[in-house]
Amino acid sequence: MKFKQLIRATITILVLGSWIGVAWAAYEVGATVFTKKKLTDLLAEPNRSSTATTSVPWGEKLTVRNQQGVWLHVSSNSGSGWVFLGNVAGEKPPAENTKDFMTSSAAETTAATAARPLAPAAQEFADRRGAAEAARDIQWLEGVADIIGSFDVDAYLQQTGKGEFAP
Amino acid sequence: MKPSPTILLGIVTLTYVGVAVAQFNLPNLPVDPFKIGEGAKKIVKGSTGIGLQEELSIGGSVAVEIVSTYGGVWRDDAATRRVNLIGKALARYSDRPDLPFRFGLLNSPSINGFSAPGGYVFITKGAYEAAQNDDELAGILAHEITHVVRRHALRIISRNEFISGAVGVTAGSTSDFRSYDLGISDISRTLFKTGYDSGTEFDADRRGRALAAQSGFAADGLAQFLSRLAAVSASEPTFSTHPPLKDRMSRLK
Repeated sequence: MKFKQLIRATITILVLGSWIGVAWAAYEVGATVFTKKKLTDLLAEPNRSSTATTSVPWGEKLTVRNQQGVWLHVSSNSGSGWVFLGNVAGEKPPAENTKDFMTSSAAETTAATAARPLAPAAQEFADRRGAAEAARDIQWLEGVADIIGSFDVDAYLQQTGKGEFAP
Repeated sequence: MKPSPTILLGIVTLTYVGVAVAQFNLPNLPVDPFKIGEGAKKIVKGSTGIGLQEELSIGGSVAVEIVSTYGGVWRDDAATRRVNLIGKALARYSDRPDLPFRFGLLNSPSINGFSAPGGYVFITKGAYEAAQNDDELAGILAHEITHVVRRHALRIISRNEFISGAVGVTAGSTSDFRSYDLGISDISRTLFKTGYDSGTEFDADRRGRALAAQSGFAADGLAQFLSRLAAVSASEPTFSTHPPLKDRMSRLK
């Protein structure tokens, strides 16, 4: 009986473990990854609350030295440290993504400054199409969506144990 | 005869290891619909000709068309907050983490999802209510985020040389809106009638799945959602502008 229970428990652990494995990308030591944010912190320890050893710019080539779950220990010309694997890409993102930086400084600060109304050309398009109600709907949506900033997303990820807050 | 636990154990382990490896080898994807075929270089180059301000103008205009066509925005604060938390968590780990995304609900009982350049993502109230948990919602949203990140809609107009019109209208330097409006019309027709080609949709499915998993959501959230929809006879149109459910499910496995 005890043997059967042991087998059952082992299967359960391995099934759960394999599912967790599905959620994590496995990188080989020596693999190359690239940063994809305007600035990416490399951390002293593999956890979100650790201090940054250095910050590296967009498109930086990093070499994987080690992996612990969702954290990669990487090195670059700027130094080494730990990075959450969701903050790097296996292939270098297109350079046109750097145009997004025009909006990122606002998005990273406060929800109020991140608010970006419907573009004037889009508002004019709505006027030409007689779609004033749709434009008002979008303005409402932007008001609700832009209130949700980085801190709220952090809290959601922390509460649900996702992203860089995964246990 | 019952299979032994050891054999079961081996099968389970090998299966999931295989899935994990297959799932994250994105850099080695055998097929990239935007890097193959005649004229592909022209398409990719064309996409880079659209700056952020033009993208936001085009995206806002397409969003107006989406909202107009699908019953307006469902103004539910709690539901809108929920999809924005899930969507922004996913967008943070996408390849365009610095683009501010907005996630809205459309007041339509049909089951569908849409996205527009510049980070506008919409799902219908029908899709929102049919999703049973955050993982399924994440699967749907990650698919749409991928369309934005990969600039799928912009490639439609870059192919048809509407870029100069978009630049002029965005800058306010022209009052000739004809080519701009035609470009928006082209994107809208694709979104609402013809749909993207199947290669583009499968690309969004595959990369969206990887994005959801990498962000900590279940990798099979979209597959679970689609398979449940396929099992019931839906009274409302279901992803009518996407490839058949069974084709998508078989590729997501």
